[in-house]
Amino acid sequence: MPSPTPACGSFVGPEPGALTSPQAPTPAGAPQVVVEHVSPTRAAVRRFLRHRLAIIGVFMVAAIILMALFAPVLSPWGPNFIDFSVGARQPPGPTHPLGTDVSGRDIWARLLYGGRTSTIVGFGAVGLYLIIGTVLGLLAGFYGGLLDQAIMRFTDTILAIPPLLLIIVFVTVVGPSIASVIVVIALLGWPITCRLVRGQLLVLREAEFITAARVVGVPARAILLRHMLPNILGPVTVVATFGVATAVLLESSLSFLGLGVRPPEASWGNLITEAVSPVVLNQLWWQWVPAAAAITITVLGVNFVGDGLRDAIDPKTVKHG
Amino acid sequence: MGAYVLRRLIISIPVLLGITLIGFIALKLTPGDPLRATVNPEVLANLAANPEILELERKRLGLDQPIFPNQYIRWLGGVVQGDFGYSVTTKRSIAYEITTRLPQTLFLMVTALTLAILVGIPVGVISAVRQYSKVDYTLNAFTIFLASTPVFVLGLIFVYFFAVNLRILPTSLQHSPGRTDLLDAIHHLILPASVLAIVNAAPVARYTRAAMLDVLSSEYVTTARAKGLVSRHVILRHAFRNALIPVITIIAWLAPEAIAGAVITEQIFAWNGMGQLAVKAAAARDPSLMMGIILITGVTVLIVNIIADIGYAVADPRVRFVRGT
Repeated sequence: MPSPTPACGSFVGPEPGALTSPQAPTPAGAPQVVVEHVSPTRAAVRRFLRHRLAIIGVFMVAAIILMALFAPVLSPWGPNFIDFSVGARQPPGPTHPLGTDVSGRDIWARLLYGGRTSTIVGFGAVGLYLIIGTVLGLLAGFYGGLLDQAIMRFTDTILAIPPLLLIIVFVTVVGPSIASVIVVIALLGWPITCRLVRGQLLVLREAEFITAARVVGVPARAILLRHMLPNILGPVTVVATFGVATAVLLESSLSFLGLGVRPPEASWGNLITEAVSPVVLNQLWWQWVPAAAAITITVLGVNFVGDGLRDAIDPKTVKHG
Repeated sequence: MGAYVLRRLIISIPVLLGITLIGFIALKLTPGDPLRATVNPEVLANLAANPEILELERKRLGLDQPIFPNQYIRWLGGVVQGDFGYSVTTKRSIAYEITTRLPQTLFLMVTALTLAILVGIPVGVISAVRQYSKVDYTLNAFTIFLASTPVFVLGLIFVYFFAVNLRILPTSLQHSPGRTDLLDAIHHLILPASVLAIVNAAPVARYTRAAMLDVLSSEYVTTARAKGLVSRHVILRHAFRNALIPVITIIAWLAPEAIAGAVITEQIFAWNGMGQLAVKAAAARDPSLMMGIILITGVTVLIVNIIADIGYAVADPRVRFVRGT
């Protein structure tokens, strides 16, 4: 799709439209267009920077990460400190900016530390399953044959069972904790990456530059790692970004169900669990509304970034995994 | 066509075996004596006094043989005949636990998904037809926002407004105490079904929009417009009918996601279905019960996918040729 603005060129000379209207025939000797070479990566970065929602998303995610990172600086209270001088169920006020919960802990502090949990789970789990998915996808797509069949059927199986249920199975066996949430999401999240990598590889295998590399005598491993892998990184980044959003949602859902991060450790999900009780839901809005907003902001921000990345890296390559 | 269906069915056999294998592994990870998950607890209680009889029973059931493949094959034979064994925590047969709850979940899910499709598809079509208009942006923003909000947050917001503040709808259970009539059931269904419907309508709308945009830019639509057909006619007759084909498949692909949503929705509204059973099984650390749930949901999703794929091939003959045969 042609971009409405020049993607790879910069104007030298007067501002367009400053002297002549853009439609006017270019007079001889006036603005010269100097075409500079722009690598695909730089072009993609430029497209991304021009994506307004994506930039908003970057700021949203950055804000959440910074808040999680500097939690001890931003809140004088620890997440599990019970403030007896103020008491439980205090509405937001000067000492406790978001009030206190049913046992007198500072909600603002729990929100910040809950952000740590979400960030760790989001990036940790996705990082792990990217490795698994990419390796399996490369094996399946590059070697094909029986190995490919086996890996793909395994992928189908995992995809046939609702992820949340599979995760619940694992939690049933290993017990809930932040580590098990990360491992479990990682063990179950790889199939989509795997399919994508394999699909991309099958397309690339037929590409002319790969044939050329083969003809020249480049060894298989070098073709895979030097020529194919870099071409797959773009779409994988997009999938990984959306994966972070899904992981954050999964973690909060599990914690909400009491099967993820266990109290007293703070998580946005288990902050909201309290609101299942009608009294908390109705009277202690500061207990659950901030955490709910935090989840939505994070997921929305990550999704915006993902949309921007996808558009920047040419949507057509990503569409069919 | 027959060959295509056959091929599709053959491909799903390994997946089916994979699902049973996952279930079996979960079962084998159940702590304690494997007899507890195999024999009726009442019978087992009588046998427990005599270790020799227990040993004989174990031998009779093949529990002394290698786990794989002997025990697996034997267990699979039982499962095929509807014998899922016994839950180690509730002490009831797993088949009983599931059959009492499955209808409740189906009731909730079928209602919610029907609503989701009835809302999602028109929203997607309108959004696509008016691409880049204010309507499109508003609907888009709305669906993205919904896709980023967890089900439980949406559920709590609904409870907050409709049940706690307005007090017009019940927040939990399928029936008021002592009532079993349909009206009461529907009254209890409204909140959970709406929440689940809205959550699922968002992706349906987004995919419908994408599919419609794809079709609207195709040449035959341009031709139809060029020969002067009424816009509404082009959109509904030419574009929509073709856009619907990928949408059907995508709705089937959403099934696992929809089930996950149902698990959480059931938990919020104390809906006595499979989802609540799954959470209960997990909280009680009961892998034997989880095994039954996994088998049922996995097989259901698999069947839905097969039907969708075959339906796709019926609707679009090209699929049969593109994918071989």
